[in-house]
Amino acid sequence: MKAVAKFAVVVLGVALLAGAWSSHAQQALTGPQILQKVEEKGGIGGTQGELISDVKFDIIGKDKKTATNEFRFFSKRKQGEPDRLLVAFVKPDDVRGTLFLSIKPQGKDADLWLYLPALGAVKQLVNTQERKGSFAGSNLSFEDLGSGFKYSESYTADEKVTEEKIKVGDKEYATYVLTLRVKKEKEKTEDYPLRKMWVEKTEFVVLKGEGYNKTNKLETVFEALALGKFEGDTVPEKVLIKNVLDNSQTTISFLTRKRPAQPLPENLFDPNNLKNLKIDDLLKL
Amino acid sequence: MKRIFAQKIIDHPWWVIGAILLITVFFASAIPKIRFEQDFEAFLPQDDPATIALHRAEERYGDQKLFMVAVETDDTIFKPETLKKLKEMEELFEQIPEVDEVRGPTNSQVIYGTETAITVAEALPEIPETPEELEEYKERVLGDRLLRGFVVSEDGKAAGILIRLKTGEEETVGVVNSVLEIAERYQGPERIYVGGMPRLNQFIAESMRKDLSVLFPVMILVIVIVLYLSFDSLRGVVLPLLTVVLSAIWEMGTMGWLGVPFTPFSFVAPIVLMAVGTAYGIHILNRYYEEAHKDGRSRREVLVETVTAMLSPTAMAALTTVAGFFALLSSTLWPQRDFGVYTGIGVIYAALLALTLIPAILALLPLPKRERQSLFARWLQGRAGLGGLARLIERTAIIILIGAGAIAVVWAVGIPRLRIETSAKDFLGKGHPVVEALDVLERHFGGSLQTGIEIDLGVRDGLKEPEVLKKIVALQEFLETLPAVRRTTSITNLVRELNQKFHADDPNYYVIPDDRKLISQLLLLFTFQGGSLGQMALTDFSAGEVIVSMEWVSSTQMAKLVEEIQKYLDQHFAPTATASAVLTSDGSLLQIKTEQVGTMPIYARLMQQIRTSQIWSLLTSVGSSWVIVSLLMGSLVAGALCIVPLVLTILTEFGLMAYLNLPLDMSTMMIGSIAIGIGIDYAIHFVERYRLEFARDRDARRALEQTFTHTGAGISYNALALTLGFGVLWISTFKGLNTFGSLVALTMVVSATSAFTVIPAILLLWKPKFLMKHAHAY
Repeated sequence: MKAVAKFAVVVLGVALLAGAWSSHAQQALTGPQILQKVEEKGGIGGTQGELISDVKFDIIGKDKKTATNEFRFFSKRKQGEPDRLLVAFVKPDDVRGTLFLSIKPQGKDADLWLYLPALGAVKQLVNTQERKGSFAGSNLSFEDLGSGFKYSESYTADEKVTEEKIKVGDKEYATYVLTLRVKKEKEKTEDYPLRKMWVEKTEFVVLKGEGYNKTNKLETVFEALALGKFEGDTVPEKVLIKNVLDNSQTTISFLTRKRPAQPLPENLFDPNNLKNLKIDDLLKL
Repeated sequence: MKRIFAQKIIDHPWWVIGAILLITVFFASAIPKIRFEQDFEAFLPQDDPATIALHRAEERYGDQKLFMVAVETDDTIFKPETLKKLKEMEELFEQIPEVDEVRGPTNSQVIYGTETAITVAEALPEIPETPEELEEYKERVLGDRLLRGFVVSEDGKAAGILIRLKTGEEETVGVVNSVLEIAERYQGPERIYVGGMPRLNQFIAESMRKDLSVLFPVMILVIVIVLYLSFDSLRGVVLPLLTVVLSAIWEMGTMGWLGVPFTPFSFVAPIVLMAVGTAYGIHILNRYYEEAHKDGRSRREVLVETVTAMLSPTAMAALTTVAGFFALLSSTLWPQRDFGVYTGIGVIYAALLALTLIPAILALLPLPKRERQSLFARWLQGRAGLGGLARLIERTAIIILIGAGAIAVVWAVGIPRLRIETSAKDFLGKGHPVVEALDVLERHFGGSLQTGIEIDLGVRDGLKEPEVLKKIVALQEFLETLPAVRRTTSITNLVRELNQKFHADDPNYYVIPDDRKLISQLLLLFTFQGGSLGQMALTDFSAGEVIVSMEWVSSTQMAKLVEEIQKYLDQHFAPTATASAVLTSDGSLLQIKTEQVGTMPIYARLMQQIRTSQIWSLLTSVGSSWVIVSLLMGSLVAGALCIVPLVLTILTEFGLMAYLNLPLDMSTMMIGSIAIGIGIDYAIHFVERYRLEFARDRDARRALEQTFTHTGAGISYNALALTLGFGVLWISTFKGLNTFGSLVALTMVVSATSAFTVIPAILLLWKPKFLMKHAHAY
């Protein structure tokens, strides 16, 4: 259940994490139309082509204790081919060099492999149920990060939208405020019957989100803390995902985002080759 | 002054009645605000070390209480129809909004390890249709260390569904009701039990409400009977009854406005008050009828005379009773302090209402036409009743004193055997559904009680050090040798399990790896696979808990276990001992701090507190009673004389409890102070009347007969009302309150009997000097 809740937060998060393509603001857009535009951005893997990102997770648990993880993400998306994502652990030292590989054929579940350097072995992770794990103890799950999400699969946006100005850093942005209600058939699996999201009006970047649980309490809040530019588009540089009930939170910082100078080698995404990949070499790419 | 007070009341009856009505409305409006606090663990002071440790653990690791639904069968749960039920129940429990996680035999994760893959799967995605599928499922579940004994019993006859509530969901009563409703739907032929602390607390809260709705009308009936026996008139029944009902409303209203909760020990305060408070109305009505039958008096004169005469005795009687209840303020346990304070306040209300409302209403009614004395009253005051008793005592004074002394010695010898015991389970008694559920959990799932030991390294990732984990394994092995401990769980179980799975499920790898990096990477995998560390470790792995599942033993045994565990911790983890330091992978020394947290240390502390509180509350109430009586009577000897029946009563109570093996617990430990607060009145009334009569002509025989036939009757009515009143608690749902009610009723009989026998025997044989002094108006 909890993981499903995280899933819903990530639905909001991923849209923001995605590289956002500019589009022109339109007059009198309805909720479903705005939702569709947000979805067109896709997830982190939604960015077509190859991308290398360095990402830092600052986690504060409900016990107020902190943990920090740093990763390098290699993603490859090409029309008609499976989405590929390799995550290399950089920090802390104990887990440095641990690798996760996700290969997700279109319309199918992702296949996952894990390489633990201390064991020197690669294991396929076969998970017959919905992947619920939190990514390195954060408020995100591994598969959430690896897949694109469709809000409209589970939610219906109210036709009517309101407008509001919200601040990210020093700058104020005009946003549409969408109310999403869970579809009847998804009531059992979704933890949030109601969600709200604040969508920036020109580029349809999600700047804020809220998830209300079945007791109608606000449970999770997603917030963009800083925005930047990537290839001319507005993209998030830092986002906060917080569970307001247990006060756990994850701050995700994008340290770098770049296109690889050379095409990524094919064997980077080969499960049989995982144990040959060295973290220091990966960091040079 | 007294006369002016009386005149004001009698001359302005409507004002008095109106004001009382307004105050009643004010107090009544706050009664719905009263909440119920039933968590035994909340009864210790907030600054108690055990409470502080528990709160810190809850903040760090979440709820420390076990909540489980057990499904018991005669043969096996591995049948399609039972499995279908389990699956459906798990799904329904998950739909309860406040529920965060449901873990049962069908939806739990099972992890398999092979040479090439790690598989994480739901234990039972589909209900098996063939015997082969059923057998395969059985092997899968019973072969998994993390499931066997947790969600399926070792013998396969019972299944357990663990329910975890969302963080911040304080109100568990509604959730338990939803769970019970679902469980009831699937009841039979399987037996379904809902157990654990939230269920226990819900049951206690529900029982308190039920008890109140039953005890109130029964108490009113008892009061009506006693009043009818005393007065045989409508006003004689209605007026004292009205004052106690109103005083109970005022008392509850005060609690409501001040935000004081009802606890299983204090919720009977209004019931107790009704029993205690009736005496004031009885005495005032008694005097009213006496004055009304003196010739040629107007209604106003009768009432002014009654109120003037009764003001001091009523106030003084109330004062000593209040002192007895307020003595519970010396208790370190707040539910007892609340009981003492609010019953004491209620006594003040009852006395005040008796002195104002009764005369105000009587001022509006005509004087009674005939003398009202019931058959019972006539018998009691006749030669066969108290008069005969007076003569008997005169003849047997020495025998009485020797007999009382001998009985006191017998009781005193037994007292060292008195055991101190307190647990919610004992308070409820055997046979309750909630206790049955606890027994089922104990039979099949490693105990119904969960407690913990916190291991705090104080540094990030300390729990990933192999040497630390090996020390924790040793601690777990020691704990599992203790008699009541069924199993222990910690991060070491997880690390060992993952190590085995990652080595193709080879059982030889069920050990703590020597490589810290491997431990880190295994734990990383666990979080990726949806695992929740819960109580096992903090986010930064600087601390974690060893969770101890055990049988629900007596609190005496719990205290012993806490001591034994502490001895081990002091030997192996004490901050000063070199044994507590371990060498880390990077060559530095790491100190391990340990602390017991949860139910067991809380109960151990409760035991200590009960012992201390009992001694202090008894000393305070005896001391304050002596001081008050001495001041009232102007003699320390008189004060001491009045204490004698109380000492006998206390010795009888504790001696009897010791011989009957009844424990001194949070409810029975209040009896001493109550017995003193109420029982002292009998002695005061008796001694004061005797002194008054003796002072007239120094004729001890006449003084004794007069005291018995007049004051003795009042004492008898009072004792009867209190004995029957406290006896009402016999019908309470709580075994603890049954015992409490019976013992208080007994102490009322003993203290009245002592006042009627031991005091006159002493007075006849000794004739102390204070008898010669001028008697007070009391």
